[in-house]
Amino acid sequence: MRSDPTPAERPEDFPPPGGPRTDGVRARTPAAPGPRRAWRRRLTWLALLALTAACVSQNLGRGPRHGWWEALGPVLPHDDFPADCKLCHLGEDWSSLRADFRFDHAAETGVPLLGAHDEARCLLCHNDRMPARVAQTLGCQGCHEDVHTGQLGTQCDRCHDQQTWEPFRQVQDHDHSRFPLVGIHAATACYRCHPGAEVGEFVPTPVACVNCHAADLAATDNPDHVALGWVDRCDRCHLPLSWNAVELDP
Amino acid sequence: MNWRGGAACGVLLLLLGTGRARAQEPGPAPSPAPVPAPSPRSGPSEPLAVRVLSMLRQGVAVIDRGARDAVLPGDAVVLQPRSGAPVPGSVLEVQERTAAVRLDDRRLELPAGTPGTVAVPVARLAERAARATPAQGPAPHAPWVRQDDDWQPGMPLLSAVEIRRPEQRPPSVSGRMYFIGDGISSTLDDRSDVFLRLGTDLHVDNPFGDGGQLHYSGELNHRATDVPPPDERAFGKYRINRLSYSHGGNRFEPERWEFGRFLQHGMPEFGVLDGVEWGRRLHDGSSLGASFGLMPEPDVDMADSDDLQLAGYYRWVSDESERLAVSGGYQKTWHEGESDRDLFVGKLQVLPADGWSLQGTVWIDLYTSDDDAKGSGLELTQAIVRASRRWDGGTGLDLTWSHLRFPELLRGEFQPVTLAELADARNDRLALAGYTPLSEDLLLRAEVGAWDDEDDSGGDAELGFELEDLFVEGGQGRAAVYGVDGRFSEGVGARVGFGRQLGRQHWDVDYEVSEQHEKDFDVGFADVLQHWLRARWGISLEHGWDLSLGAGLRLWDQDERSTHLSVYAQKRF
Repeated sequence: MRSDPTPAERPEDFPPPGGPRTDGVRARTPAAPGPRRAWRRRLTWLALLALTAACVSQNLGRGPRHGWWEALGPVLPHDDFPADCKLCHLGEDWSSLRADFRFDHAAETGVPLLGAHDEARCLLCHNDRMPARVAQTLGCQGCHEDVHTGQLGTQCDRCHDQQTWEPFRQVQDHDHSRFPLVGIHAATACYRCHPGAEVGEFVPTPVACVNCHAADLAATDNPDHVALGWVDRCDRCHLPLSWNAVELDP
Repeated sequence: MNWRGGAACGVLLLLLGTGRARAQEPGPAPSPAPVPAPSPRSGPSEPLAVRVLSMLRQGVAVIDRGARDAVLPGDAVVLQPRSGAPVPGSVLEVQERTAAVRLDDRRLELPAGTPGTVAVPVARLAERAARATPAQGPAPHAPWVRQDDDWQPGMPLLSAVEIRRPEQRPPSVSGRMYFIGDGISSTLDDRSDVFLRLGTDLHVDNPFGDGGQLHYSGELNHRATDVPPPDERAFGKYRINRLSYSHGGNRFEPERWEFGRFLQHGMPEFGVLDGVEWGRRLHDGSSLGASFGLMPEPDVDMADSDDLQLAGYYRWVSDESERLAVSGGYQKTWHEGESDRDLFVGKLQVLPADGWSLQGTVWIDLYTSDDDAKGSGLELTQAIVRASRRWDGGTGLDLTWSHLRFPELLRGEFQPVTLAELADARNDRLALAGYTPLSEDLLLRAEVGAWDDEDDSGGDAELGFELEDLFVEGGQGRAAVYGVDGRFSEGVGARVGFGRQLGRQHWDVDYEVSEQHEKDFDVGFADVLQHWLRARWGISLEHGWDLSLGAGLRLWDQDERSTHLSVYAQKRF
């Protein structure tokens, strides 16, 4: 059963978001950057944007699909390669791969290349960092940074598309939690409940209504919920369609 | 004679030899001048190893044995290609060091290097040995100084390839640039939310000639939110996710440094750092490291860094395959100079056999008397443990346990919560998910889960299938039914969808309907019927361009609705 704390204690427990706390737990207070700092940021951004645009326009780093060129030198040990060099190399020039060179990754290694992996340069995975088979044992984290800092587990493809890395299943996955998204919650930007979502942090997230709706509670004046002690169990009177659509017990 | 003269003579001799061979074909004929008088071929013979040097034309090969080896026209030759049956032939023409061999199969062309033997009578070999004088033998060479490579039977006969080190390679750039547009509009209190993001990830290899890597990841975000009561928020923020330089940490250099802003490499659980991290791989593959610096707050611009941290970790691996790895780390933080968090992180990875895996991470906080809500002692703040089994036929099973509590922090990591929630709130969930192909085109999926928190408990279940090549080639149909018992609501729903991959394009249309019942809404009709229709289309273009568009429509009771539009464009380079 859900506990019912003393209503009189609750308003103090839920100051408006961003306000100072008195219980030793600090709320976030965004600081406004000074003019000099703001200008420095804009200049940095513009410089990096220009650099990126230059890279894109010059197609830097975008070699052929298999992405090796002579200047790189032999990057991989060839110890366990097939003895028939002509599978990959032209007979008279070790520095040139055959134009028709293809490598069936799924058939040769048992690891199919899905989504954007199929077009990625070999060197992005097969490089100096570690043997690719070891990276594979680590899952996605073998090559990709885990911006969720391990808090969402290792099954990246449960939410992310492998072609663009675009997340697409988060709303649906709420049906496998204690908080299925009902009503307006299903059409609300993630950051409204998960403030850290902007940088990939989704947990922990409190689920009590007033954790997110403290401002709504404070704004009520007809009737004044706080004065009446109605500061908890919002779902007894409100449906998650609209705060204004309230059913009152006759 | 200089090398040019020698080469010219060589070419001339080759041409002459070729001409003779052609002139004497098809029958074997005794060779003029350089060849001694033929000896009888009766009696035993000894096979001499030969290799094909080249093909004069179809059916005629040049081997690396000649008159100096007592080979004569007419000697029997057997060549052994890498694949296929032995190829017999006979010597057609002989030079001092080479001989032309006519193959019995005159259509054959053999690659250079094809081995074989030529049968030379023992008597002729003895005669040649008797004629030879010691002065004609090769001068004794100096002792070999190079040691044999570490070759083992079964290994290919390849010489070692000298690998170019990172600092020997030219600078190269890779990364992506992306744009996200997302808009939600709802008739429910006229809510709206518009989000735009322009982001860049850049990695520059060896920019300064020392083999290091420069990393940059930044985003410009704009959001405009309008929700009641008057709560209009709009901001445009530039955020640097990463701007760092790393060096080492590869097979040449076991030591790794990174400084700047970055997600910690050795133990990502410790978060993003404005500082420096050092790591070292030990001789057995294990590694250790430490980091020091400020921790930017995880908000929209990551501009404030009021938290200082010091962390260290150790990762042990059983062997180079890393099928068993155990990591442990400790992080100490200070918030505005005040002691804040003592965090221990433990990680386990086990791959006991093919098809099995076990991965787990635990976060344990150490609290002291200064922590009002938690008291003193250790507490398991978070845990994620997953055991998986994959079978060859495409069947898989995942068992996942997760545990979550709020850590007591001075740092702003999450929504503010009460002291009571800090002390008691928790959420445990155990889920079992599986899938198995029922036929070549039909895949069955199922998932059941149970959760338990400080106040309530519940669960969820879903059963669905995916059908490949439905209606048309490349079409995929899917359907599922589910039920969920949440903390505030319970309900059932169903989803159906169809999509198709068309070359580099794909599209999907999905529809979902669910009936949710608000469990504690006890003053009226508590059911919410909601429909959700959505569509996605995407295309991967040449030169690393990706584009996808999405649209969604939600319908609820009382004619309320919400629309959602999204665009995602990306350029990989």
